[in-house]
Amino acid sequence: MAEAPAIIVEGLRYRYPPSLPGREAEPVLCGVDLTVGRGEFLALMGPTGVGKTTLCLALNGIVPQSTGGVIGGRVAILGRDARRTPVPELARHVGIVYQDPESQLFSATVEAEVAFGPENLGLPPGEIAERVAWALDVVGMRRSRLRPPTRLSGGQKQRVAIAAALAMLPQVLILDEPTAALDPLGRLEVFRVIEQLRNDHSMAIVMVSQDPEHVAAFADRVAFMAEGRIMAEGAPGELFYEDVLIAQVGVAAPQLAELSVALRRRYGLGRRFMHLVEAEAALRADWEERQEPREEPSPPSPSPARGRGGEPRPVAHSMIGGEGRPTTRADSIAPNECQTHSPLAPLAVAAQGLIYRYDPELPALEGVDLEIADNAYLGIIGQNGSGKTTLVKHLNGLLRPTEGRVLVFGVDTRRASVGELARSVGYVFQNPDHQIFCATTREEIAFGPRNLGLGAELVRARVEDALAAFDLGPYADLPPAVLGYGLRRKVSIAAVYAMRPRLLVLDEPTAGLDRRSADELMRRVDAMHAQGHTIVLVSHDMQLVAAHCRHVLVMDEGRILTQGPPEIVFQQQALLERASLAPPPVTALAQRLGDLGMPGGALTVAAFCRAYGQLREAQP
Amino acid sequence: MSLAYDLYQPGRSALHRADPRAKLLAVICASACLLATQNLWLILLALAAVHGLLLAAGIGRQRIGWVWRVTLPTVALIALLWALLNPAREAPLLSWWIVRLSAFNVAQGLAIGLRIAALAFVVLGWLFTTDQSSLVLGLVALGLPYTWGLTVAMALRYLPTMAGVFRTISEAQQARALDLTRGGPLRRARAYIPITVAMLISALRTAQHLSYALESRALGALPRRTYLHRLRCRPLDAAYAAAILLLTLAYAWARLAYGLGAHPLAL
Repeated sequence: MAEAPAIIVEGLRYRYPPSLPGREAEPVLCGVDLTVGRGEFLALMGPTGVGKTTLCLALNGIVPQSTGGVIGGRVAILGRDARRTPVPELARHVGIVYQDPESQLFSATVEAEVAFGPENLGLPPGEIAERVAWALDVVGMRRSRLRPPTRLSGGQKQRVAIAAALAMLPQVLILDEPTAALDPLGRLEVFRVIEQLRNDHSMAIVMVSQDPEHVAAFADRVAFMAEGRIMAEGAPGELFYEDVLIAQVGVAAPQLAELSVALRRRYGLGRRFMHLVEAEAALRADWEERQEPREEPSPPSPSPARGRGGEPRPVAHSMIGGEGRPTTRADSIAPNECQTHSPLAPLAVAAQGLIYRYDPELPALEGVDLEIADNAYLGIIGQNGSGKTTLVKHLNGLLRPTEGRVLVFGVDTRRASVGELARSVGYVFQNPDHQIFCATTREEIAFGPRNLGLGAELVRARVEDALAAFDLGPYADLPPAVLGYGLRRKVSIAAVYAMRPRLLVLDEPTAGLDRRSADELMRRVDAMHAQGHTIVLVSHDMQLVAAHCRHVLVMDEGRILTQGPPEIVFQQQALLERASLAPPPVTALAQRLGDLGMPGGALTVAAFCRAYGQLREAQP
Repeated sequence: MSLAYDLYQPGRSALHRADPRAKLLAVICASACLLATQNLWLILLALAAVHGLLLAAGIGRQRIGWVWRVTLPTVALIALLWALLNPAREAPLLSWWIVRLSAFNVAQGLAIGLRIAALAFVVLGWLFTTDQSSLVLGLVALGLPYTWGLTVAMALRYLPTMAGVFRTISEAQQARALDLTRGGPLRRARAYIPITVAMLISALRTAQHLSYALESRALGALPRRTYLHRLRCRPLDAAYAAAILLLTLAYAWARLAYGLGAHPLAL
């Protein structure tokens, strides 16, 4: 007889209690049907605000037992009714890991954190010790047993949170976007642990994620959620090629799956691929099938700015330019882009010998020299702790150099207040909740312009413009704090946009956003760049940086490792590896196909398609 | 250093290993003695002793410096106001307008101000060297319900975290041209409203997520929980407690019988 699924959700409907008096909350779940078997890893994807977190909370009983609200339908976890089984009782069977490590790691040491659950279950101390040791072994954190969780990296924190759930020996593990705020290395750490749990412990795993690359590599099944229900589910190898469905739902597919669909549509390429190795094999096979017998393979095409030995030459410490090219990067293979820009171009930022220390013994920035031209579009990448945020906080005076100086539009930041610099530098923080405080969205957006001392009419005009630009009109008179995360993120950016800063700094603007929201947001940012604003974008999302930024700066251990146009930077494999980064998958694929004559600087699916098409046309 | 993380600094020193109940007794006794004395020399002696203990326990100079940075403005303000505005009991060293500056007042102002620093060092020294689990165990062993002990421990755990959030929110609002430095006290206080409201919203969100996390980890599943580590009162801990009590009683006797510590300068 087949084993019963670990999770059965049937016709689940849910509505939160009203967040505003007299205003009935919209239903969040509108008939969710889902089953997950033991030993299965299901990835749940969908736009922000469609009820993924609510569904997770329903699986461990928090919804509706702690949240209140109106619920209908059935949720059965290992045969138990999750709507009525008390949460602490259900916790024996369902472990959950939330997105924000800060609010789920509350103990002084890793060991105490992991022991907390088993202690609550009244287990004997010997058994608690065994479970703690086992759970920490599983996530590879045993050596950090006595460290405070607050001192760990983002990836390590989430591994401890997983260990804390594991120590209760659950048969079901729920993870609500555990990797949303992590750098690439942290994300990989978490996914590897999940894979191990699925393989070695036959756990039923449900993970909410906006990361299609890792989902495609690790998950057994994907479910797309939209409008409060499951719209489609299937194996990643099937669902991720459904480009119409993917666009309809508003999620992202792995970049190589997108490429596969695009090549099929454009050139009738028969083989499908989602991973680098199979993509390379598919394209080589296509190439060979088309190729007539000839004597020599095509030599690698001359990539831009290659140094000795063919290694792309770093464009170190040159001015990061803003020559005002059109914003869209679909045509991103441009061989001359590595050239430095005119020394006469006006500067937005000049950092000279910048050293900053939070701690006298631990410099966060070590001698950074940097010039950013007016109207540049700069992406800053690097691991957590590499100095990215520390660097950009110098641009609006939130941090003052320990040594060296920073000039922003000619103003020495050591001699200007943050308020004065805010006239020319807008800074959007990573967490929108650190900004939002007003009773209405309209007031929130007006706050900055009013602080600048603008007149009432001008403030009103700026607010209306920002509301229109970010499609926030319907929410103008609602409290921003009660809006969904994606909308709060938009409000936080619109509030800075309304100040019309010449230089806009965005710290992880798309973290936690779905594909559609992220694309929409980036279109606004691109439009600002096209209007002449200088953009500085800090991000862990290489595809985002490759698709939008004109220049990329790689930070590592408080120094600039390399900088230059993305076509050049993303070819510097050794340097990227040193910073624990990797180029976008299509760029990596283009580099692997270099011997066929494929230029290595393809940054987007469209650019790759175009280059591949040209290559096919030129093929003998 | 901003102590954006947590107060507890892991270590294996004698102070770290001492029973948290004995340390709590020491905090109570030391605080009582400090509050009973007005003598500058005794307070300086107490400060030196606490510094010695903290350094011996491996508490870094940065952490000690942080306590000074936090308390010094209050210490300086109290010392200054007391010294300047308290009526002089003896011939003033300096007399100008309503200000009468005497050695007595200066010493008394310094003693009262430094007493605050000493009290802060005593309490924070306890928190620097006592991990959260031991703290809860200690409070539970003294008869407090577990959930109360956990609440106290978590409040202490999140205090520095929330201070970090406050700083970030303050930066985010200043980045929107909020000026916290201009105008009179009322205007400056009003300028903090955006920060306070955002802080409140953020704290409520954290509290909600925290309550979900606690429930999800089976808090309250059973009326009585168990513990990975139990408190063991070693003979050494009993000796510590006895010594602390003896010293406190000795000082109480000296204070009552001989007025030790009653005068700001004279012993």
